[in-house]
Amino acid sequence: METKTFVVPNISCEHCVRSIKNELAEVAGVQSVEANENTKVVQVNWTAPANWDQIKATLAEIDYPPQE
Amino acid sequence: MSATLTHPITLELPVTGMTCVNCANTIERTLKKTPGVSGAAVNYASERAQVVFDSHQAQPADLMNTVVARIRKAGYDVALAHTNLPVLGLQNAAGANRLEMALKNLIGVTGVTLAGEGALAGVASRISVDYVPGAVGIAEMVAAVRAAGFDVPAAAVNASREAAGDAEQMARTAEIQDRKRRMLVGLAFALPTFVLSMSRDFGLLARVLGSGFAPMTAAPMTAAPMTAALTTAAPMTADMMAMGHISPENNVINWVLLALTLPVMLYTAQPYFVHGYKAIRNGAANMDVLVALGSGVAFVYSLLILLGVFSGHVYFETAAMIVALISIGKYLEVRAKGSASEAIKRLMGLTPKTARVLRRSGETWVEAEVPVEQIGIGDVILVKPGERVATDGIVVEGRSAVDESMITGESMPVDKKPGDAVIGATMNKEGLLKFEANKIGKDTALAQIIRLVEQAQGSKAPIQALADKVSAVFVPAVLLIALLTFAGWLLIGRVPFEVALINAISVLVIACPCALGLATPTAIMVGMGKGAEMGILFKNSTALEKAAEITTALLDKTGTVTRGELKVTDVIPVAEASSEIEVLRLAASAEKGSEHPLARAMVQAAEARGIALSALQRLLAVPGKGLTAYVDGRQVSVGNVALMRQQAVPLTEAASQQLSDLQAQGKTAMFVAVDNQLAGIIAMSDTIKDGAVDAIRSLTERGVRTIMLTGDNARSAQAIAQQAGVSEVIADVLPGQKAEKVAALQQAGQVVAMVGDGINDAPALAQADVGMAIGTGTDVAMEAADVTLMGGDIRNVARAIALSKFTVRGIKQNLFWAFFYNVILIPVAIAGVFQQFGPILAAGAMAFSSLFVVTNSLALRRKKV
Repeated sequence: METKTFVVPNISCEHCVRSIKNELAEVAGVQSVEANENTKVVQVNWTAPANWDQIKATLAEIDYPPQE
Repeated sequence: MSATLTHPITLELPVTGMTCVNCANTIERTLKKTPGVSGAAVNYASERAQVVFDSHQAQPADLMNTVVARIRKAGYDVALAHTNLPVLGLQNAAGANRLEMALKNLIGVTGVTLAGEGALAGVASRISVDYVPGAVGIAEMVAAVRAAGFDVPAAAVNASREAAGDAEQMARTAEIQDRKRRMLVGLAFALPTFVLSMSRDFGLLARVLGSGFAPMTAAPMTAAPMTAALTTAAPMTADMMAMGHISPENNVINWVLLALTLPVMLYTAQPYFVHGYKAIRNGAANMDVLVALGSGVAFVYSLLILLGVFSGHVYFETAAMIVALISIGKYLEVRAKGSASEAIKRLMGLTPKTARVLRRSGETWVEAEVPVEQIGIGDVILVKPGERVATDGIVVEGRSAVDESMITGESMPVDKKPGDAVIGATMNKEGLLKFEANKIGKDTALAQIIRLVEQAQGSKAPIQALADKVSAVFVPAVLLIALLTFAGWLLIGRVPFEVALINAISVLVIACPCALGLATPTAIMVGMGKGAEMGILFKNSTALEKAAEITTALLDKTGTVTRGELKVTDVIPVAEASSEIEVLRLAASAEKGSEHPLARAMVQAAEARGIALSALQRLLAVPGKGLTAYVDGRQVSVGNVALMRQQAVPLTEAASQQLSDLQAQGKTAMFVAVDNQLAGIIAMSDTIKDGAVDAIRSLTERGVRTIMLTGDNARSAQAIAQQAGVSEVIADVLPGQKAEKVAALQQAGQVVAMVGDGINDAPALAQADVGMAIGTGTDVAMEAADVTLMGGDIRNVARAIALSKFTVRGIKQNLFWAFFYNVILIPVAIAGVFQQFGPILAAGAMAFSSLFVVTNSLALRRKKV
């Protein structure tokens, strides 16, 4: 299990949080997603076959690129 | 309108809930991923989503629903519009399906609900349509409804949603008037046709006017010898029959008959031809087809004879009489529909048309007479004695007694003082009341009841479905029998063409299943109307039919069997010096400051006995134990054993025993101590409702097993059960378990009624075969239940069962009579025994069976349940 906590500056409302959670949940291997609309902090737990590049790509695709 | 899209279509959806630009992107992405959508653009500022649909598979409504569902899942919403359209001409489930499909094929429609295939029950044939505003309009929906072979009253199209009820009413009145006119015209022309034709056939014309008016033809008929015997003045000549020769006089008569029949065929029969044609075009065979076929065949055949194509007897009178008699049945049918929805009309009539609204004008209040539609929330309304309350509200000034029987079923007037709620449509009996409106229009208690009744009358019953199923098989079967009759007589019987034809016509006419279609709806409408009068509102007709089969009734304890409020039951003085009144006085005085239900019960008991309470000082509530306070300079403690111990009050063995005896009865008992000496014991309990014992007894007498279901402890439950006469108790039930208990009984083969009032009863109410909500309970319970017992009288449970049995019996009687005439007369028609008069007798019998069914249903209304 891998965990990464990062900031997504593009988060502006709770809908954004919801989109991120929904989209990441669809990535195979992602175990849990926590996000806070105020702090713009997102925490993702995943196992294989998911990997960080894939998660990063997904976030970029939905217009919420992470700031590492 | 085709079922699938053939070219891409762009629609604009109004989207709500977007809070930032990212939201717009999210929706756009979501939409683009939806199968069948080829493009999407979402504008955050204008809150609109432009969607390009490009699908060749999905039905527009399904596709639209998928899109709406996707948007909703993403956390936003689509602002859908909603409308109700009254539909005329909906007669069976097949028609309902056709109508639904027609609307769903419209692009922009997301959902269609028939507010009851109620259509079938004849009352409010209403469709409720959800649609995307802008994508589709009312006009297009109306056009689709009409193309499917139904009609929407023109008035309803223009009227606003609020006025839809009135428009519907007007349309219904117009329909009755139209049917009446058609019936009267039909009778006015058909009767002379009948008399003229019969007079000739029986030789009366010949006797009075000369031999030229002799019966035209008789030979192929079994009636011939009789006719011949009657017509001594003009014996038939062989060549007249053989050649089909028509005397000039008879020819004139035939033209007169045609002239008389034409208005009947063109005006009275027009709806049957129009509807029959539409039905056939839609691949369905119904009663209109039969009538059109029966009369049309007779008319065209006669016309061909008149024009010299065939030879033989003209059957104009047959054609005219079929139509005229059926139109009587039809008129009665539409009229019955009108009178059976009287319950709703009466409910609507309860609201006064105007109200006296008090409005501030400078320094003074001015009274103004205002139409009820213009009352706003917060308006202060004045109600004089003898006037009806205009809407729901809270009394702000004045005291009076209000008769609420129309809403609650309780005959006792209810006292009102400032702060009390008043219900619209109730009658102010005594004093002047001023109240502030807090609910108006469709939110009032009365409007809710009206909706309940409407919903109820519109729903479809299983026996109705049976009647429908039977009819659907019946129609083609009868067409086949008619065909076989025709072929059989022609080929095997070797009778002339016209005899075979007329026998076939007899079969067609006798088979019109219009009485069958009336059987269930009329009885259901009467049953529901009677129920409403007794304070039993059936939300659907299924419940009205199912209630007869109830074998087990589950009763919630609090609020259903009991009143749901505590009452002081015992006051026992313990010390020599104290009296019952003194114990209650001191305890109630001490409790006066508390809002606890136990405290309220004590204060109420003291007030009810006219005991003046003393002022209290230094109140100290001891949580979980009781309280102490100083009354008249003495320290009074009211509470449980723990409190007594804490206060070092010596308890005797006998007193402790008394307390536990009371608790064993399910009561809440407390010690009262004065200056640290035990003074007495006060016990309280929830008391059973006045009618509860009767209610349980009458259920038991009917062979219905009664079980009390409660979340309360077994001891209290058992005590109440004993008082009420319930033999079985299931106590300590968690809210979610109530539905499970119902399901368990159902699995054991029981037909279960659940009676309850609380939100916690809702799942069980929904699960039960028949859920009955107490009208004084929560809205949630009423929503979940099939039946609402207004006023909370549970004696109505047994009455509802009785009413159901009574209604089901009525339906069966009706079905019997409807079938009776059809079944008896079909073989007679096949046999050709009627011969010449066959079609007329058949049409007459049809009208009678309709009449019989309607009369039987209306007679039910007068019978006592």
